[in-house]
Amino acid sequence: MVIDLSVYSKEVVVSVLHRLSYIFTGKLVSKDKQIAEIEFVKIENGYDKENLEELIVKELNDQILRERISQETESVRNLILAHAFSRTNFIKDNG
Amino acid sequence: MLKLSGNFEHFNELDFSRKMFKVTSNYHLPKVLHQDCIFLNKGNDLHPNFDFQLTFNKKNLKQSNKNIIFLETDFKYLSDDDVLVLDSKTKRTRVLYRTNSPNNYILLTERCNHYCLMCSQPPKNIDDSFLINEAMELIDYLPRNLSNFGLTGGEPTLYGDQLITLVNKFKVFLPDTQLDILTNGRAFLNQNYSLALAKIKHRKLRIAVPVYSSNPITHDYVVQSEGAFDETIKGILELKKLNINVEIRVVLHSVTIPDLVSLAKYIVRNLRFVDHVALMGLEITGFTRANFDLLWIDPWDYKDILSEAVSILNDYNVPTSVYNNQLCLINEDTKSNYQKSISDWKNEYIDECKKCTKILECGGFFSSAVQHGYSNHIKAFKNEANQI
Amino acid sequence: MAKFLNKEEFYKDNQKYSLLPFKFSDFDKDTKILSNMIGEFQLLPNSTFEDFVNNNLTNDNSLYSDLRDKHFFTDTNTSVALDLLPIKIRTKYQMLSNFTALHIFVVSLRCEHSCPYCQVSRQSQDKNTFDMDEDKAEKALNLVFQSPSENIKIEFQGGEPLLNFEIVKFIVLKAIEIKPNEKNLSFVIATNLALINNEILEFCSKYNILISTSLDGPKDIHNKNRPRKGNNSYEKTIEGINLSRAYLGFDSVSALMTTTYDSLPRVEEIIDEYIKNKFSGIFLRPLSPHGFAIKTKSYSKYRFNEWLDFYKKGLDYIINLNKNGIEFFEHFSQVILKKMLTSDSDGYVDLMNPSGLGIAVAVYNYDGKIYASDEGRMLAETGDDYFCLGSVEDEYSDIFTSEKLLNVLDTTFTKSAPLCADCVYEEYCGADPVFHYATQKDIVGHKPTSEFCNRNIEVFKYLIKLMNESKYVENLFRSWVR
Repeated sequence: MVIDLSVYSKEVVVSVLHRLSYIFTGKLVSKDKQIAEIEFVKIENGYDKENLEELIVKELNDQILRERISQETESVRNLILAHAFSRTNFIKDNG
Repeated sequence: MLKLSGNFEHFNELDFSRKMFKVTSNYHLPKVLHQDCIFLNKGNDLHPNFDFQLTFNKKNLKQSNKNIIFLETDFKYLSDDDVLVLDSKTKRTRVLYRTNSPNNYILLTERCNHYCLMCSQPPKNIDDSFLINEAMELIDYLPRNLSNFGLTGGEPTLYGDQLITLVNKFKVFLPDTQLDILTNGRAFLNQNYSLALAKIKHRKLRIAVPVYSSNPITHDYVVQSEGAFDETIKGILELKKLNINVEIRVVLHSVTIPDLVSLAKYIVRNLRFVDHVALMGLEITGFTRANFDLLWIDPWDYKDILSEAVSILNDYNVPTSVYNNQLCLINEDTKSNYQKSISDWKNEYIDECKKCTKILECGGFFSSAVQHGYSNHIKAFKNEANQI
Repeated sequence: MAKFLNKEEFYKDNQKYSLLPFKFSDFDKDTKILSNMIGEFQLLPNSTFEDFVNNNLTNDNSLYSDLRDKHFFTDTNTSVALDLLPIKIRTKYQMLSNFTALHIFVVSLRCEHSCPYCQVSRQSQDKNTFDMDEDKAEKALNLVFQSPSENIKIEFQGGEPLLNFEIVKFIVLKAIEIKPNEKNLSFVIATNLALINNEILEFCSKYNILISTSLDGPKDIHNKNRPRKGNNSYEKTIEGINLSRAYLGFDSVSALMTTTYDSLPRVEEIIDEYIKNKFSGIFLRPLSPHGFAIKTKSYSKYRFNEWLDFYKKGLDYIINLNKNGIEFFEHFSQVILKKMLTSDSDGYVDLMNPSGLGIAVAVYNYDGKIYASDEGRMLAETGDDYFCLGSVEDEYSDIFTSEKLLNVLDTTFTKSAPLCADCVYEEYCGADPVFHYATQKDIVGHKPTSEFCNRNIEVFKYLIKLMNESKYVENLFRSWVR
């Protein structure tokens, strides 16, 4: 399965390979700077290459979105965490 | 309905323009204690020594070396330790404290930065700052064993530091009296202001703050002030950070009911540390009369919503009370949260109630409701056995 | 009187919202699930999710209010979420530090039962070898009171602790004697109750000692699980429960169920047994994969799918009982629901994050060795001492702030563990280094193939699904977190 690294970063691809490792073992092979290929080393019973590719695309897109949300909210996350762990006195019995 | 202010008559010229009195009928009160008291003549004869005396008998308005004040029989409810103020220019009296009332409140101002759709005390932009001075003075007249007292408005925090001074005086003179302050809470988002309040260390202070919805738009709309929601919530957070007792008040009407369950969920997830939640039936007075069609919803029609909200709050152990609705208009599972609350001078009952076996547990109606509208589903409870 | 503004005038023109941090995943083929830093969750239809992440959700959508109330975004009308989220996060971690520290004393490995799944017990009369002595007990107690927790619970375990009740008495009296004033102390004995008697109960009553026993279900299951001379474990247990209740009060006696292969098809009968004996709930426990349980192959027979069916069927049955007016709860669900519906959490070690090893629990073994968890010492009985932290002869700081322990806690913390950090259910889950070490020989674990992970996700999803499908269940579950 060919991956365009200008669309899906290597980190994204690797994390998807890890997430789906209960279904298949994939090896990421670099073709050139922009293009990489996933070689299917082992596929668990009940799956074939075709539905795997569909699943991988979906997971890649989800992972891209995760990264986007994470980037978009990074500064506010840091603000919240800084606030959460900075002040000393605090409400007792808070829910 | 009790009359709390009215005209008086007198014969001699009064030597004050405005004066506060504690009512007494103790014939043998030592002379040294007469100074701040007004003697209540229940019979026809006057007290021989008291300088100031109340009478309901016009015949007593005769030449005397005493100041005799005649009041209409509307004020016959007056009793020992009640506090009233006489204004000699307007010849008006106002009763500020009544021993027989379970909840004594005084209004600190009619000014307000909200303009709530259902305000029972429509705000006026006037200088009524004499009211807070009167409150300061009143503290000296209140019984030391007073169980609770309330400060209301308008918006009391508009006084800024003066309110802090007032609370401090309550703490000094009445440290064991539960003191409730009704406020929209926005002022307390200022940490210095909250801190000033906390520094008083009044152990029995409670700040009652209305939150009408978890939806900021609904809340802002109800109080007619943009940005109110966030400021109120932040005010509550500042107060709770300083461990000040906070009550959330929700008035139940057609605009707030659709959001009530969401609000309960919001409270248990975000404001679980509040000390009490009061869910209060609508009083048909003030602006509510102008907005009646907008606000009215028969409590019968929202009893399931009320049940759900109460059960959420109960599940998270947030102390919750339901006020002002009639007992026959709430579900069985809400009853343990029901409080018979409508203050004594407002309580009234309708004919159907006379047949009811639970009338003593029920708060009844505001007299405004009896006049202007109440549920179509008021139904007397029969004997327990018949109910099942 | 001034004019009142219409509600419309309070909507700001610019309805843009800014996302707050959240995670998401597929819930089913049509639905996404979102969760945020504090564990508030929301299901969204796929199309609504698309709208939401692309800033196209409009405030006339009721899901808009739900997402706003749960702090998935701030908008021009409110940004108070930025004040509330830090408070809730802090509360959650504060709760973590307030856990009751559980100190387990394994007072004897000897047992008069010979349960096939049991991971540690010995059939032996050899008191010298398998019982804890006073010297070790006293040294262990000195360590107990050095732990920073305000609330300390000492649990006596075995083997069968009643076989060495003399040391139980010694520990209780000594603990009370040396306890610092500011600490709260409680005791519980985990016993099969076969040896309970009036004298023991007098002592328990005097020192407010609670009883935790085992009840595996109906007589045939229980007795098959728990063989002993006379084949009367069930009868002894029931008798013991009733006697203990009479001495200590009804609520001072609790029961735990061990799930075995024989239990799996019979969850309803097991629950009935608990109702019959007037327990207010049951803990539908997964069988732990440790020690002899692996050795005796009972674990391999026991697929996690089968346990899931068992759990789901049991939970459905319990929901129905409640519908029929019988108040009864399920403990595993309760632990998770607390995390889903509140910012508190229980001290249930398997679902703690960071792991509760050595923090929320410590085990003082009969031989003076100290383990980071009960499962850790069971693993040790199979010859693997990985979770041994030291011995009662060591200094407190060498044991509980050792590099080894801190390293385990740190590397398994799910905020940094691969996949966990992205997992939408992370806030409900825990790091279970012992499980992953036992099953995968890796304390972090390979999560995509971890049964712990799969099982928990299935349970989380099932609980959310039930609440989403039924208002009744939503209300019932909420009442369990009370």
